Amino acid sequence: MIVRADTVAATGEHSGRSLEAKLRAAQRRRKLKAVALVAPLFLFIIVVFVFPILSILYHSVDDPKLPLILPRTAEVVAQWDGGALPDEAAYEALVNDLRDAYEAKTAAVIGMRLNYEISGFRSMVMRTARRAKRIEEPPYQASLIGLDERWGEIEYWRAIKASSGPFTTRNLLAAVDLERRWDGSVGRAPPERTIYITYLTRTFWISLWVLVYCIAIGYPMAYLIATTTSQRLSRILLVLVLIPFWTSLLVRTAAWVVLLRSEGIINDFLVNVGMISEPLSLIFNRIGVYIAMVHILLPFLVLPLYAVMRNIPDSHMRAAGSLGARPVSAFLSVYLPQTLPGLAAGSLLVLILALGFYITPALVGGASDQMLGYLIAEFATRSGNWGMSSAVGVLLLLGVAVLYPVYRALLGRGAIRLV
Amino acid sequence: MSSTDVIVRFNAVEKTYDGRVNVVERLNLDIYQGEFLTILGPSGSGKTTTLMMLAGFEEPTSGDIQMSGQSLRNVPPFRRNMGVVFQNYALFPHKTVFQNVAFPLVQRKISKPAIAEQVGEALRMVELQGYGDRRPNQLSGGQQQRVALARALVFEPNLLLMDEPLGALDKKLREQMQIEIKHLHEALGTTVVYVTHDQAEALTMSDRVAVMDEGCIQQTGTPQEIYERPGSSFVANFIGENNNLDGTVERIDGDDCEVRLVSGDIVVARRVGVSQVGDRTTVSVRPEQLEINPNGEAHPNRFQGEVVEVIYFGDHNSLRLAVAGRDDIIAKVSAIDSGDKISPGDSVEVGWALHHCRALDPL
Repeated sequence: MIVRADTVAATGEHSGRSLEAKLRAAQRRRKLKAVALVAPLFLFIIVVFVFPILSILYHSVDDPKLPLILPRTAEVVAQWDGGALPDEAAYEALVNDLRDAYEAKTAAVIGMRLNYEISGFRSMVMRTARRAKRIEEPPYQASLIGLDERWGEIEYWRAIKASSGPFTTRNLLAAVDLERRWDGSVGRAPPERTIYITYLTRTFWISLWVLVYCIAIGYPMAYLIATTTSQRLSRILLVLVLIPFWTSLLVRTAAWVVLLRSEGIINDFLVNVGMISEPLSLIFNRIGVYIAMVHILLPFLVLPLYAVMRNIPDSHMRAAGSLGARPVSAFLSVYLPQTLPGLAAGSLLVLILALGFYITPALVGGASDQMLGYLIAEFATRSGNWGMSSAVGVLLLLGVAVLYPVYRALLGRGAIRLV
Repeated sequence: MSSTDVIVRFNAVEKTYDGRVNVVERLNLDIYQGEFLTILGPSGSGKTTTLMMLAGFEEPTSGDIQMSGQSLRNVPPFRRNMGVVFQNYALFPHKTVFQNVAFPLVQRKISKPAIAEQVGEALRMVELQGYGDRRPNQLSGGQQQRVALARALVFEPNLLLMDEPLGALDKKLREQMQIEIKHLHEALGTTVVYVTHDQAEALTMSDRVAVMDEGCIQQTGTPQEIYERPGSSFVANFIGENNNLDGTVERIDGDDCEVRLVSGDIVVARRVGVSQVGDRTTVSVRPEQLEINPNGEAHPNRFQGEVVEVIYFGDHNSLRLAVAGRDDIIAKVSAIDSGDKISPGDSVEVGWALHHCRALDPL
């Protein structure tokens, strides 16, 4: 240390600074190089991952239609407190807005939006819009109620107020079986709409069981692949594990239908050999979903486990044995702890992938085996309700997001190296 | 040593993995209480397999291993009470040094305070006190080696088995650890079976060396016996440096014999691996036994030769000589004696004593 201090003093501060500057320059070059190397990946992630997720988050709260299509009505209901039926001005605004909307051919759009609030609202809006141009003078209120007496019911006006945007929490609340009442309070949604929590718990439950089955099948398998002295056996088993990766998910799932249905290969065989008299129901129920999902997800558990197990030398178990540990004790205290990082990484992969399953439960599951993915698809493709679709997507995203810290808490810091 | 001192006996032990080739072939070996026995051999000689069978990780295909007179056939490793030190140490990476050393005691359900005391003592023994909280990957190779030693000794095993434990260390550390292990053995008196391919290691550390090749024990004996009186050409060449002279037995005279070399020269040697006149043989002489220009010594083997090369080693010079029709005969001479006096091209006389020269099986 003394020598070093002397040297610094002798060479002076100036040269010391220039050395630092050189170091900084070198580091800057290295950093730039690193940035250049990851830039394509970074852009890719922004475009295909960050942007879509932000867009989903935005769509789940975005509610711009009513102010655009019914601008006057939106302005009036914004002032209205929702306590009693709105006054003549509101009816006049609505009549004018609907007439314009009909001409602009946007009435169907706003009808659909309002239908999310109360079913039947769409046809009511369409009919009113079609006839709105006949109402040319006051009293607008009486004329509207004359057209459809539901215009005299306060719920429909509250629905309009709730839809008046430009942002809404209804989709997110609905995704957890809640709704915002007209007075601003949040409460439980009516029973016919409280399906989301059921789907959410079912999704987690199915994913958890798939994970349990995957571990029960995959752990011993990975152990065998990693520890067998026969190169041939380990290669064959690895190929068997990897085969699911080589065929499309849809084809594999369809193959399970062929195999598992009542007149399928498995049932035919079992009936023919006389093991069962009636075909087992192996598909279009939870069993089918488990079989198909475990088959698809098994590699995601086996491969990280295998990677970790391959690096545990045989000598560890031998050492444990020589030190007096019985096989079970040696496994629990020496082998298992060393495989935890792989087990955690694999489990997380399986769980996250399982949570997002859609095609497989849709094809091999029954009505009560559908998962959140099914709801998302339903909203997006059938009813075109992108708001609800996004909100359920957000729910799924949050479900995955809470998994990670739970995992870290369970397995300790640094246990997950893959993710 | 009497047979009561035998702690382990290999009785006609054979091991094959593929059913065709024996990795270990009819092995008979006694290991005595308290000795430091080294099994020395090249890779693939079956020495590690022998050790693994003793530890119980491999099952003999036939034959029996006995410990204190009891067959070990159905005794699993965890009941054999043998400490094993592996080549890669096999320390458990997820456990601290303390937990690693405590492992055998925990398995034996010893009370916590007793464990703390014994582990502390074991770590003191290998001079690693204060390292208990570290993880194995925070230690140097030599330190990991010591932890492995402490772990294998802390439960006072009947036998300490070591499988090339110093293979991964650099030369200097290896030599230091050799001495430390030797001292530990002297202090504790535990019977040690040590497997290595390094002949220098075997010579420095052992009470007894068993040289193994192709599944068979070639020779057992003290390091001195093995080095000075090799029983076969393999042992002579595997341990230390050696000069080989091929020839045919011309005459047998009690314990000695005359060998006619390929060059036509006659060498007188001890009769070890030959039985009758006309046998082919390889005569072995250690380089340090060759004398250059022997003055007055009545060596029966004297030859005229030429220096081909002089290699300087600091403490000695190594001369490559063209003698008796060969040009690869090596003589080690003290650097002080030879100095600059000998240089390539010099004509010299080479001689060696009868008792340093052994007629062994032909190479």
